[in-house]
Amino acid sequence: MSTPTFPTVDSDGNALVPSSRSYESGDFPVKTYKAQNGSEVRILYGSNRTNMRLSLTYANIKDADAEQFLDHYIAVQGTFKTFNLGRFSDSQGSARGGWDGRRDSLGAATSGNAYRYEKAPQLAQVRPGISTVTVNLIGVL
Amino acid sequence: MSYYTGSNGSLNLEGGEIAAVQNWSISTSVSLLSVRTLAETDDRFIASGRSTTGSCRVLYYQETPGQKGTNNASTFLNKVIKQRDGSFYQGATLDQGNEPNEKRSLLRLKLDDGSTDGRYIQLRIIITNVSMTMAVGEILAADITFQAHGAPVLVDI
Repeated sequence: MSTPTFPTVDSDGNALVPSSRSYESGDFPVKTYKAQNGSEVRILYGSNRTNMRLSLTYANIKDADAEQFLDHYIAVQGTFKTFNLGRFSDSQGSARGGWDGRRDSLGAATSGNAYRYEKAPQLAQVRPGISTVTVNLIGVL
Repeated sequence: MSYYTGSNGSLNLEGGEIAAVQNWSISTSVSLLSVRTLAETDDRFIASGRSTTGSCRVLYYQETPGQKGTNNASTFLNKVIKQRDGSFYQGATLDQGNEPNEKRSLLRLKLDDGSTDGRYIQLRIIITNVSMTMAVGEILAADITFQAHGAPVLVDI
C-alpha cells in the first residue's frame, strides 16, 4: 500500500503553499569524544546526513484545507510512517513553493531520508472557517 | 441633490430622542488576515472581523430646574455611573440596558432627510467611557464613547 503524499492542492485546486517555512539541514551521524586535555575525537558512523527538520506554517487557510493535514497525519499513522513532500507542479512547488534553489535542497530523499511527522500538526482557528496550521517534519533514514 | 449638516443629526437612546446633542460619530473598521504565501510577492487578504465604535457629546441641562429629565446627558451618565447597590462587595451592576438583565443599550444614530424615519444606524452598544468637565465659561457636557455589540440591529443609510 502506497503512503499518502503530503497535501499539495487546496480545495480550490490551487497549490497549497506555506506562508512561512524554516529548515535545518540536520547532520551526519557523528559521535564526539572529548579528552580531559581538551582534544576532541570524532567518529563518523554513517555516510548519510539525517535529522533534517522542516517546519511549515500555512497561515489563514480554509478549514477544509487545514483538515487535509489532520487527515494526512492520521493516514501516515502519526509519527510512524514516512512520506514524500510531493509537488503541485514544477513552477509552483507546494511545500517548497517560493524556494528558488534546487528542489532537493529542502528535501530529504537526496540523503536517503524520508520525512515523517516530528509531532502532531498544530491548528489554531483564527476566525470562522479559517485556520492556521503548523506542521513539523523530520527526515529519518 | 441634498447635503446634510449637524442640524440634520440626532441621537436616540433606548427609544427616546436625546436633546442637545452637539455631535456624534461612528467608525467601523474591518480587520484583515494576510493569505499571502511564500510563492507570492504581493499581499492578499481576507476580512477577519469588524469592529464599530463611536462617540458623542451631549449637553447636560435641565428642562425644568430641579428636575434632571430623561433626555439629556444624564441618561447616558446614569447608565455607567451608578450608586452602590448595598451588596457585600460594595459594587453596582454593570448592566446598561433598560430591561432587567439587559447588559447593553440601544442607540440609534439618525440623519433627518425629510422621510418619516430618516436615515439611521441602530446599534446595541456598551458605553465604554463617559467624561465630564465643569469649567468657567463653558457649558457642562458629557463626552461619551461606546462600542457596538455585534453588527447593527438596523441599518438604513
